[in-house]
Amino acid sequence: MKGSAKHVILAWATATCVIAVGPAEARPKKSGTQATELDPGGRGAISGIGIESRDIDAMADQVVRELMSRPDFIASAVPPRIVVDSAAFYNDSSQRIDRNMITDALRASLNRAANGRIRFISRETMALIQQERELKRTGVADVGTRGMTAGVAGLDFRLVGRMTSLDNRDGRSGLTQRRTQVLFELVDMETGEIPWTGQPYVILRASGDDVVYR
Amino acid sequence: MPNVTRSCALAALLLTSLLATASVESRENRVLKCKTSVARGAKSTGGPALVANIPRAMTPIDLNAVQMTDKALTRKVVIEGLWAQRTEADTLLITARLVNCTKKPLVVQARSNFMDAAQIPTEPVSAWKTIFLPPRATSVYQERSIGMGQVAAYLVELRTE
Repeated sequence: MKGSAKHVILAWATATCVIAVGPAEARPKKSGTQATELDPGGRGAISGIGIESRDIDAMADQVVRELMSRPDFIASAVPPRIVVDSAAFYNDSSQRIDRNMITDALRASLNRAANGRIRFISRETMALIQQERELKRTGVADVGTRGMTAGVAGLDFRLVGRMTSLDNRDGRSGLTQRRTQVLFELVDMETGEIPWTGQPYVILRASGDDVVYR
Repeated sequence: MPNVTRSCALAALLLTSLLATASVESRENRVLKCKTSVARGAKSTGGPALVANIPRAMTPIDLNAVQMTDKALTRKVVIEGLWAQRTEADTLLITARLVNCTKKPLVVQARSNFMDAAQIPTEPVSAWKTIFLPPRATSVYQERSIGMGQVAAYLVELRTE
């Protein structure tokens, strides 16, 4: 009797421990900083003097709205062919940034807004395209459902851009100021003309806090 | 007697017109003064507005207007002019001229919503644009729609940075 009572107490104690330990993992942590959902177009929880999330959205929006107001570009009988990628987007600024983030946001916004009024061409995937064309032409792959063309689509325009900056630092206070300028232009890939230059996206920010961009 | 009445009426008319002129008299070479309470107390234009599906659940939001999202802002900024023009591509170009009624520089942000005649959004809302307002001076906000002929109304929202 004594032995079975011992077993009962042991089982009860084990169960209590399991119950006590089990739910503790599922309980939300009260200490520390919880992950928070933030508006990508807002200031965010951390802000410094460089290009930030809101700037990427804002500059893409600005370029799209400017280009959509150009009848010579979007209202032509044959939709112009354009490439928007990071190959011709240069970062000469002091900020480290993935250029693809800017050009991808721009291409996505522009493609959706154009709704067929502009034809977007990929040059980043040229090797893959040529490989597939080779497979079709050698009979390894069939022709697909869209037929074959003599060549890949030629470009009418390329969206080029450049990001530059001017930094100042006050040695005594440690305050840092940066002017960042992002400029987009449309280059005619046949003549080299620049039919459109966007309003430069310019920010001037100063801060004493040491925010690291990476 | 009728002459006296006529003279009085003329004098009254003259005085009224003088007073009216004085109230809109340009303030050239003088520092800007605002009566933001007048702007706040202005009645609705009576044009199209966004209203809640439950009547009186919210104040109607006038369309083709600037909506301030911050009470403090209504005491600092006045909308001097608001225009909408069709561009060559048939998109809508909105221009708003803002006045900083305070003695300090202000930083505000604005964005535009474009909608069709049924008040359905024709495109995503524009990104917030930052506007720098020098003390007692004006600044201009402009935004273009992506949509073309279907854009029938717009709403500009203004907030403090």
